[in-house]
Amino acid sequence: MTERLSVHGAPTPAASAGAFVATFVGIILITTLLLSFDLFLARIDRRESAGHAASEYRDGVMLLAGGKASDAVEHFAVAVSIDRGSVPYTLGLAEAMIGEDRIADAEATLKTLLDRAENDGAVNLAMARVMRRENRPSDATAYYHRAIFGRWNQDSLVRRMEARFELIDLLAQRGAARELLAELLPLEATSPDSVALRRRLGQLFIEAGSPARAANMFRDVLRRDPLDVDAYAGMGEAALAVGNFRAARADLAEALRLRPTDARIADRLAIADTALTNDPAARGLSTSERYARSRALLRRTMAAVESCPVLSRTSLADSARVLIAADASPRGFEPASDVMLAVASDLWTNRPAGCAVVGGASNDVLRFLQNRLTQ
Amino acid sequence: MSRATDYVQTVDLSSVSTVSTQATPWHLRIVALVEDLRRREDRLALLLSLVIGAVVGLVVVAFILLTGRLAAHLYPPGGGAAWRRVLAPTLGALVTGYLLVRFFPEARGSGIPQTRAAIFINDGRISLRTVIGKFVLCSTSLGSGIALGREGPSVHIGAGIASVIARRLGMSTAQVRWLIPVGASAALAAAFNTPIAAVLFSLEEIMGDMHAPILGSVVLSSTTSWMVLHLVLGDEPLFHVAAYHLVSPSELLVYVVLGVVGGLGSVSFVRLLLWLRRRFAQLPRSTTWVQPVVGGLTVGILGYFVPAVLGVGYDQVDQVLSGDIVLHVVVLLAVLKIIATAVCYASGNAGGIFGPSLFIGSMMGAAVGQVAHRLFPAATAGAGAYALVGMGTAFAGIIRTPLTSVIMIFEVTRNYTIIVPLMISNLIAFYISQRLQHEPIYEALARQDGLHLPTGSFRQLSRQLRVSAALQAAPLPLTSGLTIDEAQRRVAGTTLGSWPVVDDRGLVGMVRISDVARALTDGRGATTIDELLDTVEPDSTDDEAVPHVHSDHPLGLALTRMGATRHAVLPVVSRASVRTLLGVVTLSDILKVYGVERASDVPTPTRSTGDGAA
Repeated sequence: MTERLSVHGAPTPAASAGAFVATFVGIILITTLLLSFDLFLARIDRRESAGHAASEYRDGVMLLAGGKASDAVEHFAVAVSIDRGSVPYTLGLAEAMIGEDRIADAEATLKTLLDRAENDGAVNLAMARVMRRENRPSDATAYYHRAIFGRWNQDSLVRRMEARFELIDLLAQRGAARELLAELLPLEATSPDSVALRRRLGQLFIEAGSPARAANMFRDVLRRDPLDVDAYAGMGEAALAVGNFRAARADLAEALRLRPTDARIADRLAIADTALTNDPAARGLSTSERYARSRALLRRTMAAVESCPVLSRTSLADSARVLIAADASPRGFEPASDVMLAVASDLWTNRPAGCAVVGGASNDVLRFLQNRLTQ
Repeated sequence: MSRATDYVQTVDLSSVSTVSTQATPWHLRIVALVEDLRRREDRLALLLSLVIGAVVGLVVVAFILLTGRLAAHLYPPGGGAAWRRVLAPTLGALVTGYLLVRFFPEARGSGIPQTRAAIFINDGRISLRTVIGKFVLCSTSLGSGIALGREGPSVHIGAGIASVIARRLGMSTAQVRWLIPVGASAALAAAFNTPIAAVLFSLEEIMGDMHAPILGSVVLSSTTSWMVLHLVLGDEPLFHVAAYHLVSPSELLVYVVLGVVGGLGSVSFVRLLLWLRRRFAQLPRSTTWVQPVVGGLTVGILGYFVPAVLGVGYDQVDQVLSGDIVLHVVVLLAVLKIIATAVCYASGNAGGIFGPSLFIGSMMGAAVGQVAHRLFPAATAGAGAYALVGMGTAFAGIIRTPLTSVIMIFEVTRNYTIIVPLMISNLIAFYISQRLQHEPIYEALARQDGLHLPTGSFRQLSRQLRVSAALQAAPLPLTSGLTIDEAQRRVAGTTLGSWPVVDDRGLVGMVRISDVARALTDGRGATTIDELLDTVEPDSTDDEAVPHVHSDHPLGLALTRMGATRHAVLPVVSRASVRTLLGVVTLSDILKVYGVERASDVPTPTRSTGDGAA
């Protein structure tokens, strides 16, 4: 380039040295002014753009809160187009997309966001919700965990607990009792001292198969509010789970006394009554009464497993049928009761996983009676 | 500064620059440096490449920011009354139309043809008034919503700044001309955030020569300007593009379709624009100042119903690149933008077609992509990928710079996997555009203005005029050691002005027949012809040491060398060895190729077949 330029260039410039230097000085001055002007304009531009983006974001949040996800998407999209680096704006867009049932778009948006903010708690929580909507529980669980242990800019304790409760809900829905208990145990110690929270934890501990911890929670609630109906009902439920039917009946009766119109409590009280009057392991029963209750329990159990062809054709089921059909002599009541309870327990515990026992009061009674036998 | 100037005038600077710097005061060294710069234009040009890059970068950034701010206030996106979208471009066109005619007639239109005219017609002269006019009027025009682009005007502004600086520094006309593409490249690098594409565009479109010897300066200015852009505006790319990839090889067929659609769309746009411009040019001259209002009103009415038609439209391009606009909207936007841009440009508004080309291309690409994705969802990428390739396709079809378009999209995406489909689509669009619209748009626009700039076909023709076109078989060479008497007998009766001489190593030089005749007259017939030779130095590696040309040399160079060596016949030698004679080229044959031969003036050589040139 330089060779060619020198070939064509005139050997002596026409401008005088003074004009030459003056031009360069002028260029330096103009460059400085231009730079200042550009930086000034750029600052104004950034400020106005940021203001516009924030305004669009606020509108989006309001619309989303008002259930207008579709409109919210438009506002969040504008905010994102102005400030692509903003995690809240993109997150808002993804949440609005979830609200609009655009799950695939929300997932794609969140993926790009996770590339930039993989430890962000809010982003991982949103992704967990997407996974949950896509019926991918194990992925959802993983993202919930990242949300729980991720970074939160504000209210980190509360937000982490919200994420954990969402995970707990998911685990409870799936009936994953062990994982559920694993999530509940940290909350037992660290959760804020709130009656509502304790009450909720109590319910969850029951679902996680830990009625003793549930009872502690409800007891704590009742200590602060002796008239708390839900706490009495929870106490009754925990007592049913551990097979303390008498205590369950008392707590549920108290709950019903405090809230007589509550049909659910009335149903649970009826179940407690039935369990109490059918409990073959109750103290002070005569041998004949125990025999009769044991036989009734075996009959209930057989009725429940008859719907499972796999189990109903086993030798265990045949033995149960023989025991139900046979009449023991009074001297044989004691051993016969023991055998019937053992067979009933075996049938119950050996029922296949796919052979779910349908709900209903009768089966609830059976479940509580069986639980009592295993304790 | 005045003291420094006094020193320049009083000190013997040639001695200053040669004495030991240790003994020289600093101010004298600066003075010497200044004087050295003044004397050495090549060094000054290199320094100016950096200076121009920085200044042009800052000016173009200001231009972009001003245009954006003005647009945000005149027709706020998503806010403001609809009537503002009609009023703003109409008033903008009215004001700028008047100012264009009254004060800044050179600032009209895109700026690319004007920049080329400055190089090829006006000795690199673009006035400061034009630069200021272009800046102010284009900011106003584009900011008011006129559907034109900012890149063309930026190129004109950048070229103008380079011209003004170079002339202020008293540089030669040739140097000023060479600095025009330097400024243009800096402007495009800042306007489009693509420094490599800017370099290519300057060479491919502005200079029309990919081998122009200003490559170094163009790269320097482009890089400097790009750095300035990043310094002020940060690292934000012009478009945000997801990482696309080819879903399946069969998808290439869809890109072929996109190339066809892009080519046809480009031709439609160019033809409509040129046709409208001819019609506007036929209107009375007194209406020139008000003609832009037609463009402003048209885009305003369209913008009333579809606001996305207003302005440069890069927000919509960004949106469509993320696959966010539905099919009927992208089709509508493509059609409306073609109409709006054609009317705005043809009516004489200030602004370019570079940006609108990308807008139209992205919409056409998104439309093709959406249809393809609906038909073959498993085998095709999202519409965004097609929008991206569509941008390059329209650019190749409208602007007709296929290489720049590929590199530009590559720079925008930084994604190598998009290159193959991009090249396929671009090539098809370029071919279709070339077949259906023979004249590229900038050449056609210049021609409408009465400017006859060097065209692509001319450059092609000039490339074809090589020595090979005038090459003829070599005559039987004279042997070194032959006496002048014997040589005279050998060449008697022929009309070749010079004759090749060989020895056992091959060609050693050329002997003029007139020199042979003169030697005979002087009674030196017994001496050998070696004494009359323009010889090759035996050990010389310098090609210029022997009068010769190669078959792929331009004919112009052959003429130059004939003049320099005073030989009307030059040997054509192999590039592998200067001693291997392939043939000869005569002045007569060269003139015949150019079509200016006059048989009476130019003697035709009598050919004699050689017995094996060395």
